[in-house]
Amino acid sequence: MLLQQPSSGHSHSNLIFYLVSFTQSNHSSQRQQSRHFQKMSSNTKSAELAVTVSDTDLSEAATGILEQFPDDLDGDLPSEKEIASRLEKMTNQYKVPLDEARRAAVSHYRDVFGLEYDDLEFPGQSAGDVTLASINQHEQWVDVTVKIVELWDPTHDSIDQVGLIGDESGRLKFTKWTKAELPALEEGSVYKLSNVITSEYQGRYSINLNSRSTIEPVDGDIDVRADIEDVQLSVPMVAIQSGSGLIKRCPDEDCTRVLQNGRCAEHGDVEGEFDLRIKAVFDDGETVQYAIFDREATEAIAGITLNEAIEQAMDALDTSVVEDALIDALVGRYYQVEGSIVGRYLLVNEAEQHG
Amino acid sequence: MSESNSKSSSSSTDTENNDSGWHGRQVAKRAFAAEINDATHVFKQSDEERAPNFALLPSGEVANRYFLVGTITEVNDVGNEDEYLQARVVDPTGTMFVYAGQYQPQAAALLSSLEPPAYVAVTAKPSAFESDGETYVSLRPETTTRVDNETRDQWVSETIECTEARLDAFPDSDSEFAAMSREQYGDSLDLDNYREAVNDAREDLGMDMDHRSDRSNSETTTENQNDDVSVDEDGVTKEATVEEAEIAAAVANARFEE
Ligand SMILES: [Zn+2]
Repeated sequence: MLLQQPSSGHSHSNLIFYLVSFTQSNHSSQRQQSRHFQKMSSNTKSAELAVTVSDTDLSEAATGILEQFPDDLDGDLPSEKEIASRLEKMTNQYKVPLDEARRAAVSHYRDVFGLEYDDLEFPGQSAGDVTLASINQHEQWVDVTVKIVELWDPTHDSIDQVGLIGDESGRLKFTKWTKAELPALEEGSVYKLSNVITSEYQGRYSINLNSRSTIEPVDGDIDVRADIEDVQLSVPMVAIQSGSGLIKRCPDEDCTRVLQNGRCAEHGDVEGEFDLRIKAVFDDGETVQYAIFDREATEAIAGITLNEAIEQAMDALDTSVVEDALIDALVGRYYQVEGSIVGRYLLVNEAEQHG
Repeated sequence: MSESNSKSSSSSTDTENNDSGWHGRQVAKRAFAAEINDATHVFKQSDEERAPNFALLPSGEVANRYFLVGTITEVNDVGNEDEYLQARVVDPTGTMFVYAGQYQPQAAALLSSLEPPAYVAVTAKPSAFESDGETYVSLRPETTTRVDNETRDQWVSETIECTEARLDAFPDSDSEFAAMSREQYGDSLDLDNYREAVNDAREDLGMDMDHRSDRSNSETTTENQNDDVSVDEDGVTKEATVEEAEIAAAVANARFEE
């Protein structure tokens, strides 16, 4: 099972091991010696490819692992040799990069001794600032600056807080363990979360805050990227809502709000730019799905271009003729709709009438 | 307010939402004329003036809105001064009455321009009115559009499924609306009527018959080509017993309700 883990080739755990030598001070002389090797190891970066790993590298990696176990751990600690042979098997026999082999070995011994991450003497030094979307590794120490999007009810006493965090790149679940005794996070607030550790379950990543993590409130706000879920529906359109058809948008690049009577809510009276859209309601008899057709999707489904729509409106001296025509042409029919769910809306990518 | 809730928020038994909320829009239920016309118990769940009306379907659900597709066989102006259109919309199981006046300009424009028979899709709100001790159901359209026969057949087959699902669930259902149906419709509640309606609809589509209930009369429809004019006998009789002006007056009162 360990071997199935994707080997990413990242070398952050080298960094972790390297830093052991600076952050831990009360070791036996034997351990001090091993620290010397770790330092060298971090410079060689031998883990990028699964080429033959030297005995020296294996040995120092094994010592590094051994060093993480708490001093007071009962009895049966594996010998350095034992660990090294486990690493050797994975690296030289199964072509696993040393980094990954090391990670797997730590994970293995952690299971064997029933240890949690908190119990291991990781220095808790992080790979640094990352965005949520870039997280693609199990058990990676990172720093993130995020907004608390939602707090959920913890399902177990061991969990202090659980919910959803987000940044500009995406959203992830987070878990703050009770044992960590960290300050409370508030929904809607922004924090820098340092030394948090990632975990992966069935391809989904999440973030854990434990006793090595720190929380620092940050001023300001984060524009959290919306969750996107692709869907396909086979449904009738039961309504087109007002504000559909030929509309005018604020010409300000960063605004593009739809004008109401020639006014932008932000920029006041402006010379608007024409656009086409449909705000539709799909309904399968069980659930309601609001949908937006942008200009391209509107042109495709209605068989009308923006310029033709403008002409129609000019002829009638009224932009509402376009909306009326869309209602007559589209509502009441069944569609195969494909698009992304963003918040309450389905952003239509493609829609085709059945039958 | 989690986004995962947004799709299920308008679940079939959720009548708490009003029309103004984020998740507020009520689902459009699918039912055949045979059942819509029997859904005469219309109620509000709250005292608020703007609280939505729900029609209690005999099969144990409520509908604030219907989506239906049928054949327009006749459109009459039943208004006094202002135009007030009454349209007969026929499905394989019966005839529904759709009323459109100045407050339903889109539907009124379409209905007055149609040459029956024609297939129409209607999104409509139900209400009920009494006349001569009988309760009648009328439908106030939100949107009415002219559609083709594929759309019509698709609606019939979808409505067969929805109706059967409700009928199948009813006997063991402990939902409040199944209980309400037993209480409100009491002795007159005969769900076999809707099994028959489903069979009529299946036959209309040329599908295999469902033999779970006996069909009492099998002469109503023959083949698809007759659909346009297969006016239900009950519908005709019912209409004949009601003064048209009376209907118009009753419905005119109802049309201001939400
Ligand atoms: Zn603007």
